[in-house]
Amino acid sequence: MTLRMGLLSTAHVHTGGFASRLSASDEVEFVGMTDDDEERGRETAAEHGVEFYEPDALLERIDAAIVASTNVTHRRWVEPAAAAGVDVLCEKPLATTMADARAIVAACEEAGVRLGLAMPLAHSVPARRAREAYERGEIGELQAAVGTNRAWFRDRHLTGWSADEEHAGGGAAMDHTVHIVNLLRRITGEEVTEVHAEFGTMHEGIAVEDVNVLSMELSGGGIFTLDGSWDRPDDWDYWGDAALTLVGTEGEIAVDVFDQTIKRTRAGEGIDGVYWGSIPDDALLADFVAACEEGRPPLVGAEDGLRETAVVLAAYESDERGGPVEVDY
Amino acid sequence: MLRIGLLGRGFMATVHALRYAEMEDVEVVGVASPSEPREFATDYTENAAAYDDALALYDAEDLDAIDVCTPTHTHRDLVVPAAERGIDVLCEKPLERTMGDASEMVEAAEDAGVTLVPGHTLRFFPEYATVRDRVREGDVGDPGNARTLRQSPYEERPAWFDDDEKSGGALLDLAIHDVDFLRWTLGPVERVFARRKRWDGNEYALATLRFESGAVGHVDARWPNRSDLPFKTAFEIAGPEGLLEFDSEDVAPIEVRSTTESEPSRDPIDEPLEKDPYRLELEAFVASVRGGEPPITADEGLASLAVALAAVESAERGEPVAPAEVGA
Repeated sequence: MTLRMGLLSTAHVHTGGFASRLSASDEVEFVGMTDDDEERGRETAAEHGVEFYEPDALLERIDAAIVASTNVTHRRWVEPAAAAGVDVLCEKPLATTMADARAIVAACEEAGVRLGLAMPLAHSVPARRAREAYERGEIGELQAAVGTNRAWFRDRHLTGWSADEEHAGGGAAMDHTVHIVNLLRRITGEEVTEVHAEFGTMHEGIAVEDVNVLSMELSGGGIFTLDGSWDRPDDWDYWGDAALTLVGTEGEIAVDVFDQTIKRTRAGEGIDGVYWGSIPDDALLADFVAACEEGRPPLVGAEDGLRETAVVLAAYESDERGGPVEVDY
Repeated sequence: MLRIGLLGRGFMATVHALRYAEMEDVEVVGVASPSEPREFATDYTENAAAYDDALALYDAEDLDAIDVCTPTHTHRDLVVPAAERGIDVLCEKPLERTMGDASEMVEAAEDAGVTLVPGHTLRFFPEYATVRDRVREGDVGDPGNARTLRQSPYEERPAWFDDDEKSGGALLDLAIHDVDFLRWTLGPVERVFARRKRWDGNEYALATLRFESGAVGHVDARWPNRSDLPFKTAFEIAGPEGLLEFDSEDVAPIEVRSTTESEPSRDPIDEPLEKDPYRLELEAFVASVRGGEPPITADEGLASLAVALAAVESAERGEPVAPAEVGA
């Protein structure tokens, strides 16, 4: 049986990537998409050669949906999907407030639908290898963790909303905290207990933070910092990075998820990296489809969304207070 | 169930056996090696009968295919009888030590209507396949200059590698990987000029290539007899519009450094990929045995062999050699 899938909203910068994956998948029938911005939705649907539907009409025709909306509107899309019995793969972060995060999780639980998060890092081969090594005890007890998840600032212009608080719910901290926090939680099973945030805004023309440097304490007593800034210049050779080094009593695990690239220099176009490793988004989608078919939770889902939203909100609270804040789960 | 006979019990036989064991609807039903086939079968193949003699294996088991992971100079005498019995063949690179022996194999396969796939595994490495795609998409324009590096250090290895009559040295055994990749990416080679240096069990070989397209290639193949150096590979492909560069030393998606004692892996290959290149190669071969197109034709294997042998001959004669000149 093929899973009938659709896209709820086309606002997100990952819309095109997921639409192409749905089109290419043998296990999925890509039914179509909807959007509250009808013009944008119809245009995107035409680009990918699928139907545009009104939201209710699409929900009637699909088994599972990807919510690719702005950060602040996830709840508005997930609740009706859950009510229609549609499994949901939601963009990250799960929500921009704890109230929304809890409502999304409750709606999916009540309806008995699967809730997955579009967080690819845990699905990557390097992350899976790191988790296996950690579970074998290769680094002993975790002492310190250092992560980076930087990005091109230029990508903020692609959607028109990702650096706009009204739609994104914040800046780099809202966008680029959850990936590495999830990666660390996934590999080690540790939780973040305290966050101190140093935010900054170095680019002109935005009102949100583009510098996002977090200092955290972990449940096992380890220390953890994360730089999730939008600080890579336009000419940097890759969209960004996703890296995490874990130092324990017995050794070290260093993950650099996208460090499988060919360096490409093109006359007049500068230097960039051509990725040749296994694509984490493919593994993410495969896991979600399998989860829907097997009736099991996806690898990254509700609990991750709740906990990571709490860490993000603690970071914003720390920025306001100017000091460390305990994470309120 | 596809029934495979695995010949050899060295490094590549081990790599292949571990992967066949993970594949569905494929089984290694027999292994053959003149030395210690039973030990190998016990260690790596669950249900395989062990034979000292490959021909006895062919006659005793009902084989769909053989996978030849034996020393280079033994290939013809193993492949020709298999072809005559209607058995499909995956043969490790290089096809043989000489053009004559390799051609006999290819003819025997053609006459019998069996598939003969040369094991140029580099074509299944995503970094090499990706750069070929980028070149064909025009990222650098028409390539003008291409260079490759392959350093394969060892401390101990089977004696046949050191015997030029059997292995052909670093040019035939090691450089042929990159020769095949360059041919696959840049097209046919017009002439080769090569130099070899051998001392204390080391061999370093440097070959320059002229392609029919006019492009120039440089193949750097190193067999250092020391264990402190890393295995590494690199390439650069330059054209008027751009440059593509890769260096395995720059690639580190996952590194684990531990003070704890852990058992060494049974698998000598560990690529951080969903499916490693050797698995992809074997799956492609198995699909061709089931009736699909061969992933690499026997003629491609012959053409790459001719370039590598031209390099060997050039190093002897001190002058450029065309692949077409290499003794048929």
